[in-house]
Amino acid sequence: MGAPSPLRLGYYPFVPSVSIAPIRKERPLNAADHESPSVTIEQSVITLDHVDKSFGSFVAVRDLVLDVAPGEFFALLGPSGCGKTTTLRMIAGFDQPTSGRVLLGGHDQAGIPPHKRSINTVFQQYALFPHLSVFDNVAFGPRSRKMSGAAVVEAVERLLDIVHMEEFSKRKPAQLSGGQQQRVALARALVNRPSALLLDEPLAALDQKLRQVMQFELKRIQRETGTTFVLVTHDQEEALSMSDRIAVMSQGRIEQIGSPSEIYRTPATMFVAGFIGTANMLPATVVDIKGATATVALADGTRTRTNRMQSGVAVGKAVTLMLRPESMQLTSTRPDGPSVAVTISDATFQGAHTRLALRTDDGAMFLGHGKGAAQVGEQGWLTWPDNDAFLLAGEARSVGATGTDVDLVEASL
Amino acid sequence: MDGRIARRGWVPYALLAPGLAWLVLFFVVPLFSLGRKSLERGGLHNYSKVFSDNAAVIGRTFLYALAATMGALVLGYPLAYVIATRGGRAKNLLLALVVLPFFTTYLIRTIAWKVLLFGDGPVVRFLRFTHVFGRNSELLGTHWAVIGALTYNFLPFMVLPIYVSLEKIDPRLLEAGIDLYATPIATFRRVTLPLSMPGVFAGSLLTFIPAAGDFVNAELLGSDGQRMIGNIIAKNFEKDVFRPKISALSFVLMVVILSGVLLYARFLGTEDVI
Repeated sequence: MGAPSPLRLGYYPFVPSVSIAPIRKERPLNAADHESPSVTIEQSVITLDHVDKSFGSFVAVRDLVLDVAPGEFFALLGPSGCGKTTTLRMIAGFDQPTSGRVLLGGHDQAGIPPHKRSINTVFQQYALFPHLSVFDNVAFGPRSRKMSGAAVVEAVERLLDIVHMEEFSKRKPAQLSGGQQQRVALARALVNRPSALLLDEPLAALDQKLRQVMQFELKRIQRETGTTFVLVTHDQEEALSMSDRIAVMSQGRIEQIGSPSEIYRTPATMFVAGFIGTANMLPATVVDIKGATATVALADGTRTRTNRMQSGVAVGKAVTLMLRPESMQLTSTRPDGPSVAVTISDATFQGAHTRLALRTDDGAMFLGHGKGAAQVGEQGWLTWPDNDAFLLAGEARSVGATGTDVDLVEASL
Repeated sequence: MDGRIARRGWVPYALLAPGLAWLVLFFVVPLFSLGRKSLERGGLHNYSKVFSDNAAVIGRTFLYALAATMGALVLGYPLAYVIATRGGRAKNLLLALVVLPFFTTYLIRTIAWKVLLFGDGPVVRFLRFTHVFGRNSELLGTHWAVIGALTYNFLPFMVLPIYVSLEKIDPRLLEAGIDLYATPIATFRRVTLPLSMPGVFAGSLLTFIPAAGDFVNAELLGSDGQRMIGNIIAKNFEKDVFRPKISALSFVLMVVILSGVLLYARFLGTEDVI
C-alpha cells in the first residue's frame, strides 16, 4: 500500500486490513465461475437448474443457475423487480418455473405443491395467523403433520425458547411488537426442521436499530438450529453482514455469486460495482500490463497501477477505476502518486466517521470517509494506494460516486 | 387552558347530539310508552297470557328465522367465497347482481314468489312431474314456502358481510398455511373459516333479526298454520294500537330476537372473533 501523505485536515482513512489476493487474468470473473465447484447437485439443499419464469410477456427470471450448500446462509440481493422474490416463490412452490428445474436435496420439485416441500418460508410482514396465539401459530406446522400433542408442546416450547419468546406464548400477534412478531415467524417456520428456510425481506418492516440487532439474532438462530437460510433482500448491508454467499440479481439475471468480500472487492459487472456499497468511478485507459499489474492513465494523464482487475482489461482499452470511499485519502498537498483535485462540498457526521462529498473541477462528485472536523469549501487531493483500485472493463455510466442520485437510489429499493 | 383542547371536549358531543336526539325521540320514547302500555290492565299477567296464547306462533317464528338464517348461510357462504377469491375482474359485477333484487320492492319480490309457487305454477308442476310431490300437493301455505322466501329475501344481508370479511384476509396467510404443510382444504378450515367468522356473525344477525320480525312472507305465501309473531301484531295493531296484550307481544318478539342473538354470540364466543 502506498504511504499516506501527511494529513492536515485531521482526517485518517480507514484502510482495510485484509490483504487482497491478486486476481489472475487467466481467471475471468463471471457468474458461472463463482459457483463453488465443490457443490454438486447431490449434496446441495437447493439447486436451480437453468430456471426461467415469465408472466405473460414479462420475463421475471432468466436462466438462473445456483446451488445452495447445507448449512449455508445464502442471500439473493437485488433491486425491486430483479426477480429475487419470484425466485424464492419458485423454491417454495408458490410459482412454477416456465422452464428449467428446481431441485430440493437433489429431487426435482416439478408439480409438488408447497405443503409437500420440506422447506419453510418467513414471509414479508410475517403473515402470522391473527386469530391464533403465539403458541398455536408455532404449533400450526407440527399439527398439520399430525404430530402428537406432547411432541407438539415440546417442539414449540423448544423453538420459543430459542427465539426468546417463551413468555409470550399466550399472546395474539396483534399484541406483539414488530421484532417479537419477527421472532415468532422464525419459530413457526423453524419448528418444522425444514431442510432450508426461505426469508423474504425479513427485516424490512423493522426500524434501523432493531434491524441491526435482528441481524445478529438471525445469525445466532441459524447457528443454533444448523438450518440453511436463503435470504431475499434489497438491502446490501444486510446481505453483506449476514451471508456466506450472495447472488446479486438484476433484471431477472444473476450478475455475480460470491462471498460478501468477493462481491465487494472484485465485482463481476458494472452493476454489481455500483449496487454494492459506494463506488467512486474514474474513467481511464490501460497503458501497459506487466505480469499481474496494469498501468492506467487517468484523463489528466496521471498514471496509477493496480493488480486487481476484471477479465477483458487489455492494453489500449477504456476501463473504469473503481475506488471504495474507505480506500481514498484526502491530502492537503498534491501527492506524488495519482490524485484528483477536489473541494469538500459537504461533510456529514455519521458517528464513526464523517462522510465527505468531494467535487472535482469537472463537477463530478466523489464520496470519501473522514475523521474529525472537515471544513466545507476546503480544497485537497484525493489519492489512493497502488492496488486499491479495481479495474472494470468498459466505461461507467457516469464519473464519480454511485448512489448519490436520489432517483436512482430510490429506484433500486 | 388552550382553546383547541377545550373545543376538542365538546366536539364529539355536538356530533353525537342530533343522532342521539333522534333515537331518544323516535325510539326510546315510543319503546317506553309501549312498555308501559304492555303492563296496563293486568300487569305482568299480560305477558304470561300472551305467551300461553301464542306459544306455537312464538316457537314457529324462532324456528323460521333460524331456518332462514341457516339456509342463507349455506347458500351465501360459498357464493361470497367464490366472489371474493375467484371473482377477479367480475367481482363488482357479481356483487351488483347479489344486490340487484333490492332494486325491486320487497313486496313485489314476495308476490313474484307467489306467482312462482301457486298451484299450477312452474315450480309445483315440476315437483309433481318429478314425483317429488303428489298429485294434489301444494307449495303455497307450507313451511317451505315461507322459509324459502325468507331465505331468498335476506340472502344479500348474509352474502355481503361474509364477502367483506373474506376479502380482508391477507392472501399471504393462506400461503403461510400451505407452506406449513396444511392441505388447501385444511388451510380453509384452519385459517379462512375462522378469519371469516366476524362476517358470518354479522350476516347471521342481519338475516335472523329481520326474518324473526317479518310478516310479509307468511302473509302472502303462508296460511294460518304459518303465522308468525309479526302477523299477529300487524293484524291487531290495525284494530287498536293501544291494546296492552299486543304491546306485550311486541316485547316478546324483541325477547325472542335478543335471546337468539345472545345464544349465538355465546356459541361463537365473539370475544375471540377479531
